[in-house]
Amino acid sequence: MNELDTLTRLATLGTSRSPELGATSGVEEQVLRALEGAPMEKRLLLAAGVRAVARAAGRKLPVLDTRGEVAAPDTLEVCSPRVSAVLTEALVSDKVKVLQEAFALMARARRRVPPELLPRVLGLQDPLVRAAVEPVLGERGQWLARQNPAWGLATAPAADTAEAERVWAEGGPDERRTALAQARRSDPARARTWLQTTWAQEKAEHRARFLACLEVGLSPEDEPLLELGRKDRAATVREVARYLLTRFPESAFARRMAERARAVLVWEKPGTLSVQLPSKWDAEAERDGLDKAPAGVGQSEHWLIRLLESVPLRAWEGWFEATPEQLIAAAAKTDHGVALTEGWALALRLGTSSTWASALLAFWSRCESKVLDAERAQQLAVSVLDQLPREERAERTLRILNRAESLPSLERALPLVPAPWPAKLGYAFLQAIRELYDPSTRATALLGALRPAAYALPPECLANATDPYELPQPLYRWNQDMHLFQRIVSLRRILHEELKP
Amino acid sequence: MSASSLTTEQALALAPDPASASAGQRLATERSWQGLGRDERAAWGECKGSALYQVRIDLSDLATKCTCPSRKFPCKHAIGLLLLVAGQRIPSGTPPEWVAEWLSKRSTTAERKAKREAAGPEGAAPADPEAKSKRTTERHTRIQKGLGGLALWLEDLVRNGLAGLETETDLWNTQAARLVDAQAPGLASQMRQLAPLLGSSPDWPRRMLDGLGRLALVTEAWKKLDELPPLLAADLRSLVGISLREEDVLVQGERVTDTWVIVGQELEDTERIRVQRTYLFGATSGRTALILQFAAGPGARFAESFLLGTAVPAELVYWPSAAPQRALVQERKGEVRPHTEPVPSLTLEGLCQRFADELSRNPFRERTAAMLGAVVPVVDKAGSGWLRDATGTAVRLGTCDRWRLLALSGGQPIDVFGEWDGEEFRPLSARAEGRLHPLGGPS
Repeated sequence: MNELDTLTRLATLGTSRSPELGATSGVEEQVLRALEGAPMEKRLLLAAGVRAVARAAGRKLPVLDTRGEVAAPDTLEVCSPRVSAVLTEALVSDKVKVLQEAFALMARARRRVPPELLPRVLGLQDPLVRAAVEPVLGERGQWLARQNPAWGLATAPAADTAEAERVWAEGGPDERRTALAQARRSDPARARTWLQTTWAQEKAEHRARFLACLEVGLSPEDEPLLELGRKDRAATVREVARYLLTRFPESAFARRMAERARAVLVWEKPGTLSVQLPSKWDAEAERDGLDKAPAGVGQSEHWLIRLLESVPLRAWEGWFEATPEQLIAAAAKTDHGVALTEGWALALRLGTSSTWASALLAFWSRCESKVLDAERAQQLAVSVLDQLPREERAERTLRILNRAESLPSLERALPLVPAPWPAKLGYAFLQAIRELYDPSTRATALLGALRPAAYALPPECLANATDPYELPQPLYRWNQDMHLFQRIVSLRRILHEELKP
Repeated sequence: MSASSLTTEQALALAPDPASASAGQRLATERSWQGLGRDERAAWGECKGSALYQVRIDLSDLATKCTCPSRKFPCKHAIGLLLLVAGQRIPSGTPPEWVAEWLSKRSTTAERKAKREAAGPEGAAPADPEAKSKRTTERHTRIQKGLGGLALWLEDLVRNGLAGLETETDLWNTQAARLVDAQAPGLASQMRQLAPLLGSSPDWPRRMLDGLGRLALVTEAWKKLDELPPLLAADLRSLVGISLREEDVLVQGERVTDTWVIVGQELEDTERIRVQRTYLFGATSGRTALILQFAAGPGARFAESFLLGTAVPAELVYWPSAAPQRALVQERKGEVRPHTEPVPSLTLEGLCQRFADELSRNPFRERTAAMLGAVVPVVDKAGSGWLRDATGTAVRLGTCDRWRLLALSGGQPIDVFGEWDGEEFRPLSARAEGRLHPLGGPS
């Protein structure tokens, strides 16, 4: 308390405890003297008041030796006020996807975020947005980010190997899985070694999840570890291992399964298929997945699916010298049409094929619901559509929208088309929305897709999409979605207009 | 003002509450509207809500009118239209009749008001001078008693010592409530400002004693109110909380006509009342004026709208004071326009000089407001913020959106407007690339 001045020390201790005033000078001394005879408390307070006013008036400002670092001059031009307005609105209402697109377009047009928005932009947490914002921060933004450790940029050096290894050794299951997946991306062999060394100690559920991480960067060197998985006690682990092993036609497992499959399906030219399943498989085949069917699934159905999902589709075309259409037509005539096509549909994972996909979808569309119930048909169709390249997914969805196809349903197909949609699909979607008049399943499907569509519509469609449109009265309950849709497309439209490359 | 200068942030700032702001955002899309248009003077459109509402904005002062029944003002429809104006998303057009009619009615009303005011207070009902003087005396006595109590309480504090204060938090509120009862609300709010000082920094006892000492000066001065020069007495009365009625300000106050630039603004939002403080700077006179506006209750509106970075020709009337600061807008004399030129600024030395000068005329003044020229915001090793000039001299930075201030400066000198209390400079706005940006709020 020694550094306190006389008045403050006295006030802090209290005049009742310390009646001695001590030495004073300046205005406070003058006041104290002028008030001699008045109670000490009053003299103290008034002297302090006068001193406070005198100090405020005569403040000596300090001289700083700190000089701030200066930001380098910006080379990018700042974005236009209209873009700035869109950014502000998207920041205020937390429209992350609009921001992400805005930053990408700004980067392409070589524009930067205006300084006044930088703190809010740097405060964004979403990792995808963080990555997108980097190129449009400009020198000013980079400079500002360095001042606040909380804004560490995405370019910060990736966590070092030792740290990752520590996480793998000591972390919780989710952290470990993330670390393993990351290691697998940068150094597949290292990730494999990690998993091999701890394999025996892992719980079954973790073994399955960790093994699945090997799908990235898969190579024949992984076969020994996958073989361990194939013989695992836990069914989930075996399933993951089998799936990954089939990805190499050269693996011992894939070769065994192909041989068995080929023996089971018998082809007679020009177009007859018959299925000859043994009544029981040997012990090795059982370990390969040809085991007892789970409850609710027929035994032959189970075996056929396990066999066919392990064989690339191209193999059948070669062995039988037949087209996918011929093979599926022949399968349809057997008692096992649904099981065969489901097995083949799963085999699309080993190598996709549009002809197989269309032939399968066409077959399921023709199936009566006694043979293939509607929900299962939908699920199969979605799994097939999911394996197709994006353009083909969009094309099929367009045909579904135009009522030229029915599988999968419009409701399930639309969300499977990734952004950006082709313009044709965009226009057809907008047109279809405007033709709706009652709450049909079609209306539910189309209006339910407004949210993904708002971000997926390509730039060409945005002018059309912003045309004011009021839903007819029976569809009023979708008005809010429609509203949000038009707000988002109008923001996107401004971005695309203002930020042409 | 021209439609190109309203920013989205400014439009959002006009909303009476966050709910209206976000509802307005939802309406800021062409699909919610029909017949959108604007010209030099106004913007308009019909908004599709549960009915079709006619919404219009007078761009000269951003007054709005909507046919909806909402009690919030401006309503969400008006905010939506303002946002569309800010986003430059409204096509040019000719105002329809319902807009033209409203605009001409507004002009007539303004003229009528001007005439009525020109007629002067003779038109007003004569007050009963005897009753008025009796009320004044009564209030004066009550305050006298309240301040006497305050003086004793202050003396008790220093008798027992500030060291014993740390745990007592209700103390300040109780004392503030007593001052409100004594009809001295101005001192009550000063009292409340002291509470957070407790333990806030290593030198809090000194700062606390400063505050207590200043309160003691007021209690002492009040006893000699009649001996003080009239203007200083007016300052003391308003500090204690006896505010002059606007009618009286119009009669007694100094009138200054100028083009006034809106240089700083902040909103204090408490449960019951919203207070808007707006600083104006006279482009010709170099005078600073503070406009206080109050709105009580949810959705209540401020009588005048001011947008940071704009300028409006107007006649202001200052509250009588030895160092006039608070003012009211007597009459707007032209259109609101964006102001892009720099506002004349002070050096750090000039700032201290200005405050010393104001304190010499009114020692009860708590702070002064000024535009500081060419200062660099820097953060020292201890993490404290400063505004530093070319010579290295610096003022300590008060609470503000510090990151935004840094972003605007980029380490280069910029002009910063704010309030100086002799300890800290609290920025309210900063000028970058020809525009004033708000800096209120925490860092």
